[in-house]
Amino acid sequence: MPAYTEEAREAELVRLMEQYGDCVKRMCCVYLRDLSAAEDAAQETFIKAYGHIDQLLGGEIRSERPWLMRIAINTCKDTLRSSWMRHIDRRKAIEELPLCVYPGHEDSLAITQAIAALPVKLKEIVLLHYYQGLSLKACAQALHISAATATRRLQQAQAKLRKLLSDETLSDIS
Amino acid sequence: MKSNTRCREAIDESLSAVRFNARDMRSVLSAVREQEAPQQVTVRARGHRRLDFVFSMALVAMVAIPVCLFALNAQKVKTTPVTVAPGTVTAAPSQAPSVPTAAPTAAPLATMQPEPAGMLSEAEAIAAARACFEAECDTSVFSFDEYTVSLSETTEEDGSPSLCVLMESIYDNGCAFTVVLDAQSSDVLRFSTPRLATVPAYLNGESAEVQAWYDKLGPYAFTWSQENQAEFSRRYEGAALRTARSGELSAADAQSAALSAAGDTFAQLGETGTHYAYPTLYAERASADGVARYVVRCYAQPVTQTLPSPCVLVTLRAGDGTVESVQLVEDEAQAAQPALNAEE
Repeated sequence: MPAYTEEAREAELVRLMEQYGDCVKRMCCVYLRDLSAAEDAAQETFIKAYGHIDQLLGGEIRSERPWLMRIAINTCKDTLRSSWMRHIDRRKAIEELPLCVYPGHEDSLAITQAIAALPVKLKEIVLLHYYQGLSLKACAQALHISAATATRRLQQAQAKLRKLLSDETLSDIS
Repeated sequence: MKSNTRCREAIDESLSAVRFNARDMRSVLSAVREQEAPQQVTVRARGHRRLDFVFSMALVAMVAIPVCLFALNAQKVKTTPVTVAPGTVTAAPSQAPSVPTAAPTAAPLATMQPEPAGMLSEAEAIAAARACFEAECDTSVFSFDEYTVSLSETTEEDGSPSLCVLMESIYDNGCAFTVVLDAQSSDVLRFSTPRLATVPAYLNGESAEVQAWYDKLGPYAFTWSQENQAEFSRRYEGAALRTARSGELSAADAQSAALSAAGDTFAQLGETGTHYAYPTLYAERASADGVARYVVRCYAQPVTQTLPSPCVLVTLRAGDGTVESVQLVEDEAQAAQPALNAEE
């Protein structure tokens, strides 16, 4: 593998952050339901990604989006597992986020809140598949589960969302 | 596919204020540079605000136990009468330092008072910055809660510690306010230009959030509802627009008044039939004479993706509905962005 200069590595990292920063942070936000934790997790994601930046520059990582989202999901899982997160009440955190809803788009907020309220296993498949646009196969690889399990979880998530959302909102999503 | 798009749109819309901003990038770059450094320091650039639960409990125990012991000891001492001067009765420890003739025996008691507070806490620094913001900046545009706040420790030229509180707008409009505080006394040492906290330096058309407004509401802001125009202007244009207040001409009234005023001009052009009017209410701050005015763009066809031509611009006072001018505008760009004798 060729040795890359520090400038080249940093430039690649900056490109990744510019391209995926917002969606990684928002995904962490919905996953963790805590803005401060999401900030930390999003930053941690890119710090971890930098550890493999040579492989990315060398073309060993072919699909950078699934690779990055896998890091982000694992970082969120680690955060949830941390002892502190297990002791704080995050039930209301989503309502306290700096939500920016355009007038007349309350449905968007309802959908985001419904996804955030899903159990973690269902939430991560929804975030990867629906929000990040990963294929079910890529989702399964990122979550270390079989494709059949990924499909089943997605179906369960859809069923849960149907219960959580009104018929009108649901017509948009299903 | 539809679900993909709708979910993505919903999350992006509802969390549009959640951005991976320049501060996040700086933190990441700083952390990776530290990793690259020879000493292989792996400390995160931005300190974790949340401590590990077990560690925090241990910390509480380490602090709480000595404090309790101290308090018990102080209580014990407090009950001991102290002679402060010959012939006087007794003085409680809290009064001892204020007695001018206090005997040396009072001194040890005085040292048992808690130490004066040292460095400012994060909450105190934020409260001081907030007070400075509310005193110096135009809070009619943005409230303190519409900024993200970050703190950094700095050092003054004389070596004294200070705290820099940086407030950045959550709307990605470049508005920011910086307050530098004395790290011990919370005195405000200096602050940035207040105007820059509420008036965006420029409208960043590349901004994803700004673009989202146009994507959602249409390419011409003057066709949006009055509420949307005012909110967009508040966030990105220094609140040059607003909605009508009670006692003022409503947008619907302004529409009909403008169409009536523009009737002759359209007739001269041979444009008969239905005309369309799009009112925009410019706030007092947008004009040099401090008068709120409607600028109503009137067209012979409805505005869709392209601007029809010609346009008749009608200006009328929001207060009493007086029509000030009726102007035929052939240039589309001028019609979209009329000059209003603005200050800025």
